[in-house]
Amino acid sequence: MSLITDPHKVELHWQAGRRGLVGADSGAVLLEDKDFELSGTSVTDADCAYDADQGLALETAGGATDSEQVILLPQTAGDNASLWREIAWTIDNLPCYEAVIRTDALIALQEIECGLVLTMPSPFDAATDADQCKFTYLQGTDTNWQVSVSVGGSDTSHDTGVPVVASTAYHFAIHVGRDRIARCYINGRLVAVTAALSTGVDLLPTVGVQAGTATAAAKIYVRELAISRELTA
Amino acid sequence: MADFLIKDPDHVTLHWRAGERGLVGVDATAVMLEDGDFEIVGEAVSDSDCVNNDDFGITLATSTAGDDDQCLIVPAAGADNRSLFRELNWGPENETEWEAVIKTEALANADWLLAGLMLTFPATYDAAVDADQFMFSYLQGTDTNWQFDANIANVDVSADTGVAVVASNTYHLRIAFDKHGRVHAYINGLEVYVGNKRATTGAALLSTVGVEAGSANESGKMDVSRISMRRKWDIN
Repeated sequence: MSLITDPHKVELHWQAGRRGLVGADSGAVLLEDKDFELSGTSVTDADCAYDADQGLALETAGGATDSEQVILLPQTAGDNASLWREIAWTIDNLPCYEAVIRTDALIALQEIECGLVLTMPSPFDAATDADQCKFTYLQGTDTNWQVSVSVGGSDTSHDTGVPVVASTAYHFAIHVGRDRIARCYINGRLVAVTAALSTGVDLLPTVGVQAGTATAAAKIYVRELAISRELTA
Repeated sequence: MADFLIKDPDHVTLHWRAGERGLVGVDATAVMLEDGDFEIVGEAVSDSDCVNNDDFGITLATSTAGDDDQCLIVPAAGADNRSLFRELNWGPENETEWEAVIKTEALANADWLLAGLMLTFPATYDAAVDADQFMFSYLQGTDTNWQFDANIANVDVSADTGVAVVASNTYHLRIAFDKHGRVHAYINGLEVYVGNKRATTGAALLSTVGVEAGSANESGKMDVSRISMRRKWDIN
């Protein structure tokens, strides 16, 4: 049996916390995770912490402003260089994104977003990125996970029918096929099939949480991320 | 059915290859060039007690400063490196599984060989110190076989596994807690011990592998190749 079982594909797995805490770009980088960094409004290193039973906790600062965020995005190349960013996760190359997260308490107006994006705007919205495919939840508006899709600036949203429950784990998957249609799964169940995504667009994997008000911090836990794509000849 | 990248979202599994990310060092020094998951601890231990082994991984060798010198690898403490081997809770209630592949060297007089799950590590090794522990142990000159020391809330059991400890032999050691919290111990795939009651819920067990010398005249040695751990996530 070959050691390299799929030479036509690149596949990355990331265990939250295995290589240290995820930090904002500027601090103590040697002891921090090299694949991901924190970004978002009012984010600091202190917004990421170990939890002995749930994974890495991402918690917004609280108390400063509305819409504080903690977002995991692949390292920018200025310090660490991460394959999660250096490889182009181009829609045409059959990218597959997966994440295992757990909710905490659902705080008023908090938002959770996981998926493939161009940027993560502050505050979150569905319209900034011309191309994206992500799972989203806005407390107080949504009952269920939504799949938010943008194709060349045309935005649609699908209700998955899967309720967002406090203190519950979710396995998200977005698998893009040869037809550039994304099939979206929650906990192994197909919950949305999108229109064909744009050709030639490179997306970034992300997980993020945003508080709804300055008075209450919002928290999620991240356990594992994975991504793959077809290698071109 | 989709072929998911994440095959087992309900569990966390860690694999560690000895030497893959540097030697295992004492806490204080050269942390950037050393393994980030484990550190070496014990009586009279120093960085030089861990060296690469080109046929197995790493070799742990006690110094010869005094009796009971030790060299044990435990998960890195939080002050410098942060290791999921310590930061996650490996209590029995999580259906924790632990495995190691080790190799004996020469069996020197009165050496201890030790591997398993403990709360602390006393100098010198004493199976009675930890209220909760699950350790494979061997005391040269006293034991012929691997022993399995199972402590549950200060009720200590030491069982003879029947598996002989032989010099220069490789052993695949495994400890697993079932959904009832009972411990199962295996050597080279053979089940050698089953606990008869639930292990203590919440016991903060830590992976421990190492050696303790029996006298100041010689260095106790053990080779280590791999350590793996797995547990169920707290789903809700």
